[in-house]
Amino acid sequence: MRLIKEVESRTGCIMPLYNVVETEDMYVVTVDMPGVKRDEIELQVFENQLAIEAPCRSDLPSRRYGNKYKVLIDLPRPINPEQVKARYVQGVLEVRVSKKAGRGVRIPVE
Amino acid sequence: MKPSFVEKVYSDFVFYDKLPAKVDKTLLVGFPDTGLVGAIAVSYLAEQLKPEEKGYVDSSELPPIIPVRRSEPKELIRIYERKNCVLIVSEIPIPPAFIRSFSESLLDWVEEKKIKDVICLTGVTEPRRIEIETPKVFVLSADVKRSEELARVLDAEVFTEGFVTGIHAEILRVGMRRGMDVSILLAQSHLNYPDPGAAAQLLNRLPKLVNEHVDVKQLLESEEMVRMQLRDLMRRTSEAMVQKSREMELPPVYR
Repeated sequence: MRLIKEVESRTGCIMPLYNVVETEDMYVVTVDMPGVKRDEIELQVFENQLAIEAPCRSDLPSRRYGNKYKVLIDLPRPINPEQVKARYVQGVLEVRVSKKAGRGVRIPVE
Repeated sequence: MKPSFVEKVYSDFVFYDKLPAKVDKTLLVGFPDTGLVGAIAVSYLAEQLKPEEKGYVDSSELPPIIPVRRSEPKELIRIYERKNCVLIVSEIPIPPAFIRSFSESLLDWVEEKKIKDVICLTGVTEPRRIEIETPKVFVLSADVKRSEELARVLDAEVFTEGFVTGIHAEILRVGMRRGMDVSILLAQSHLNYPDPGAAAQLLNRLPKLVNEHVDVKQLLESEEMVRMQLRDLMRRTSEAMVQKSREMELPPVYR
């Protein structure tokens, strides 16, 4: 909690609440970002990280936090940046990303 | 607070109140947990109905925090009284290690005060919450017939399968063992995000429950601000919920 406060005061941005759910072949990331215009959300996808930024309505946050959301979300495994779907509904951004196929080699057990 | 409070010590928690010896009203509680649904509902209720503050709950296990509301320092867990109900408003989640003793203490106090029944307001995690405009409300009572009766009256559904965990589950369990009238109302909600929309669904049922009407328009209009303001409480609550889930070896969901 203290770390989050430090990041917020250093960057002057709001760190939104977020949640990552892992399924067999994808990660479903949701970010609570009320007061944002859909077309102003900047979403960048990296090897195993999502970078999200968006200005929020100026009357919402206090002066303490600024009025921009910014968050970097680390994912446990590499993802496929070409297979990403995002939507913004009821103030929640949902990003669905496919995991990169593993390179495991099948070894016969003798 | 003033020395006229009656002090009653139950294990780790002390209840100080100015309530009469026989209350005979419904107790509404909503501690911070899933989507802060219950906490938002009872706080909004207290704000709108302006009930009389009648006491507080104290414990050495509570953190050294003093909430300030309109320049007035407040207790962390407060007891209010209205014509038809008693409310408990908590600013913090009950520490997971003390959920059990708090629940026992609460229901000792309920018995002592001859409170008619206990209704816990909370949320139940709905993974597809963003696709739902009007969350459903479920009822779970210590007695199945009571669940069915409440569901009928409140235009809700009986909670039939799954898990309910956390403070409200423990209050229900203790009530069940003691043969007390304890129920939980659960609205479909986000797990980790404050959900005023779900709280509004519970508040809409109150007229039929305790004959108290609150207009949820203001809550819904300020939904974005409420979500923004409650981020810190949600973070603290999520940490407590995850801790409790780990202890129970259940996934961090409430269902």
